[in-house]
Amino acid sequence: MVLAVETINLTKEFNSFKAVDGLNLQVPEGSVFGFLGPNGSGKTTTIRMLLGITKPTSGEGKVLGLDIVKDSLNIRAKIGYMAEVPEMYGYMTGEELIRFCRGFYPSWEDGLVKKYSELFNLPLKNKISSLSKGMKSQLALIIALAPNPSLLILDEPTSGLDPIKRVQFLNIIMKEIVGTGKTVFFSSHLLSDVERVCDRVAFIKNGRLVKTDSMDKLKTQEKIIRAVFQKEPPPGFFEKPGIKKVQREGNGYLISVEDNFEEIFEACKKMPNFLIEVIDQNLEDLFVAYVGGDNDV
Amino acid sequence: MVIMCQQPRPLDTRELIILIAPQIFSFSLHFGHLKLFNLHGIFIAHCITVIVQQERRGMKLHFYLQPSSGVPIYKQIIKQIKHAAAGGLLSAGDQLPSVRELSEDLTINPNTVSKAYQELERDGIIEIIHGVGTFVSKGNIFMEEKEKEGLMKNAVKQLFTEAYHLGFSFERLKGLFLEAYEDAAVKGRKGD
Repeated sequence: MVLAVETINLTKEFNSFKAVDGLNLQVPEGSVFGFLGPNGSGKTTTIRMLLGITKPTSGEGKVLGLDIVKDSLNIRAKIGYMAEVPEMYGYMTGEELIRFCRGFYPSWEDGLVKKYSELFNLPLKNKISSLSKGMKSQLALIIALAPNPSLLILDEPTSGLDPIKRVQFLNIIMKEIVGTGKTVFFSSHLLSDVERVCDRVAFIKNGRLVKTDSMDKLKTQEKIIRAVFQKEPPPGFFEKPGIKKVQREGNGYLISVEDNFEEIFEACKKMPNFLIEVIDQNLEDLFVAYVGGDNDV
Repeated sequence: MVIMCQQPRPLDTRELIILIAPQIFSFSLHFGHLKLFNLHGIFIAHCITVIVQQERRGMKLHFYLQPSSGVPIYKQIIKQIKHAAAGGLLSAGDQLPSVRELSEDLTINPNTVSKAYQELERDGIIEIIHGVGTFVSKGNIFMEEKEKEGLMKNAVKQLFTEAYHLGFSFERLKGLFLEAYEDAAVKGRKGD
């Protein structure tokens, strides 16, 4: 598996506060990777370190095989990046900004700029200060896509877009980037978008990686079994690999499973029971389960 | 916390029928056991998030995807194509949309579509001819009786689980079941 992004014990401290704490991330080439976590969990700081905008306190990282500290300039020329709050020169027009940016990228394609600005119907002749928030996001996206990058890093890309533009945006990503074997790494709170397009996700909380797995595995293995047994299960019954948590619910149990689901489910079915039921978990449930509570990590 | 909210609550008869009947009858419909029931409408109203109409050689294929369900998207695609093939909605030789087209229509990852297509090819449901397209297999693609039965069993089991939660007696459930059956039969005949 070739990795587009890899970090080893990546850490960033601001004074004594650890914004990112020993993060180990692996983003396979050709994947759409969702980087998820609550506000202030260190997503943007991680992305800024990958781009070399912020220097890590310790640990290391590689983007497209290049070191994030030593080769940061090289990295930035090769990837497309869209910031969470795109800060752009308000006195320039869209066209001027695009002309300004194209000089930094050896692989810049004017055809792509034309194509996307027509698709978004963006008034490039207007001053940036007069554009709406959504238009600014679209302009930032055009600039991120124009160098035809093999890795696209997007920080909350769809949060400022209306539902129609969001679908257009995701379709561009799917068609132009993923369809051609390129990698997308993006952070988002819009879990419905993530669920549609991502093949892998990582949950991060307090700067630490809580869980990373493929979307399909999460959806097939992460389930809750609700069981009412006819008599108490033997001691140690719940001590199986893959069982995350067991809660009592009236006469029954809620068994949270994270792996080996089939095996655990079969074992439960074999016990004489009044009721066995599987509760599927979607990404929102998992998000809350992994990074929602304050006491369990 | 979310789970706690799913405690049983009383439902009226109508709600229960709407909840349960479509699942059972739409399964039956797919497998051709009960051709006269035209309950597709209810089923669709039930699970729509996305409807895509593919018109090819007069063939229409609807995909109802629920990205936020607990079932992986590739499995949802597999299931729907299998059902369409087994139920006669797709016939041998019909062309399916390309990976690109389908991923764009549904706004999903092309890798997901590829994964679904690969699994369908392994099962002999479709044939991928590189550079030409994806087609429904010429061979026999009827669903195994055992598989049909397994799906029906699941649906029936769900019915009983629900009934258990609501504290329904067997007799009462039977009444509802027959009522729904009659109702569907009438609708089915009208539909014809």
